[in-house]
Amino acid sequence: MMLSVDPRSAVPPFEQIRVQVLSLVQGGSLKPETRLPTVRKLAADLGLAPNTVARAYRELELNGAIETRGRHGTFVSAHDDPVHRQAQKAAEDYAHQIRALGLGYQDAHALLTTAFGLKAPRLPHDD
Amino acid sequence: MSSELTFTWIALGILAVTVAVRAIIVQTTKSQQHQVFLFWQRVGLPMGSQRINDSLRRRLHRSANATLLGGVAGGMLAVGIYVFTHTSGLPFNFMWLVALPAVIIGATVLDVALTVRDSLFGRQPDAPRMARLEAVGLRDYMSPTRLYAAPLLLVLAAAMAVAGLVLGATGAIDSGAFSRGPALPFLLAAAVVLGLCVVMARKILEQPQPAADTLELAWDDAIRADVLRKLGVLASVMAWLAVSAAGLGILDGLGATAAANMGTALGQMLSTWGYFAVILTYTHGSSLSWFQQRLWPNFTLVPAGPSPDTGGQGQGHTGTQGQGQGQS
Repeated sequence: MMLSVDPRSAVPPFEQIRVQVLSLVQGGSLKPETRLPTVRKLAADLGLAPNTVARAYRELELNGAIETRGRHGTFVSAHDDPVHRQAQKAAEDYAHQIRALGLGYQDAHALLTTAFGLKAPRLPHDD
Repeated sequence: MSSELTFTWIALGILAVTVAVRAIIVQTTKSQQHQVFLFWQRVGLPMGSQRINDSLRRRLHRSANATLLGGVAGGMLAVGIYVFTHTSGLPFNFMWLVALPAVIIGATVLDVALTVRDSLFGRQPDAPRMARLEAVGLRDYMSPTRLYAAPLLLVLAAAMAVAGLVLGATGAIDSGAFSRGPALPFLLAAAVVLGLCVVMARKILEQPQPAADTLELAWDDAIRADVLRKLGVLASVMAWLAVSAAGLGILDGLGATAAANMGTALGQMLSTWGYFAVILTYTHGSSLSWFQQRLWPNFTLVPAGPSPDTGGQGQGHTGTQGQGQGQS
């Protein structure tokens, strides 16, 4: 399973990684429980800063596409049921639109909380 | 000067001339290209482009130089020990338990050091980059037989060393002869070498693999598999020599009876055959094609494609589709 990054692209490298990994997971090419390379190794292979790959991994983890199991490494999450996959796709689209509007994770979280009819939690930036 | 000493120095002289000739030959372009051809034949990947050919040629040339230099350093160390210990003739124990390990360790260590600080392909600043999205381990580069040969031989050597000590303690063999022999130091040396080989192998697996397409990555895997194979040879040979030393130590402890002398002769013969069996295990069969079965079962040449846009789905490339495509 290969990943490519184009340094000339206008799309930031972390986003290129995130989108490709998500696509492979959602398409079933990257099987659940597959162990991914470490942040340091993937960054070295692609000639990127470790922080760039770490950011992509972090966002993928937030999406539930991958999970980190301490020193055992990072694995593709074992959620391969169609409902979960569709939900993940919807979440991905939502995250994309939120980003396009110039908002961040905390805003998205607050909006979701409201949409579910729950009381909005106190967010750190409210302090 | 005795005739035996004269013969020894003549043998060393012939060896030195052979090494010098080899050192000169490997510097020629023809020899380097021949090395590429041989490696290509053993690996079986498509050559693809002149850039890959040139990178391979340079890498194999540096590897040959490192191996030669390391082997000469090991050989000189062995000669130093030979002179320092006033050894006469070419005794079996010296040749197999000192000279051979010194040369193999020297040759392998320099080659591995080169791999750790070198990469097959350089990275062009603005060119697309490709990387594997699955973590790989030693079992992706070595078959189980080759992977576990050294630890199993080391366990066997340890068991034989314990047997030798127990037999010595019970008086069945001369405990002094066994403990004064090379069995225990060799067991320790083999354990240290195995530990270092594991550390070096992990270090190699952590090394970046800059590649612009799947073919470059596959060739990088091939070089990696070759270096890991050499580490396997080193660890297994050392472990086998530890087995031999323990076995011969037990036979030495039996004393100078006719049966024991025959056993020692048989043990030396088995030790020699075992050494060649270990070498053959790592040089024949799937020693350089195992990684293809594991990592590139249906090799496909995939260039690093254009970047996906943020709104669309990304382009993941599989290296396992379309058997035979892209092969030249």
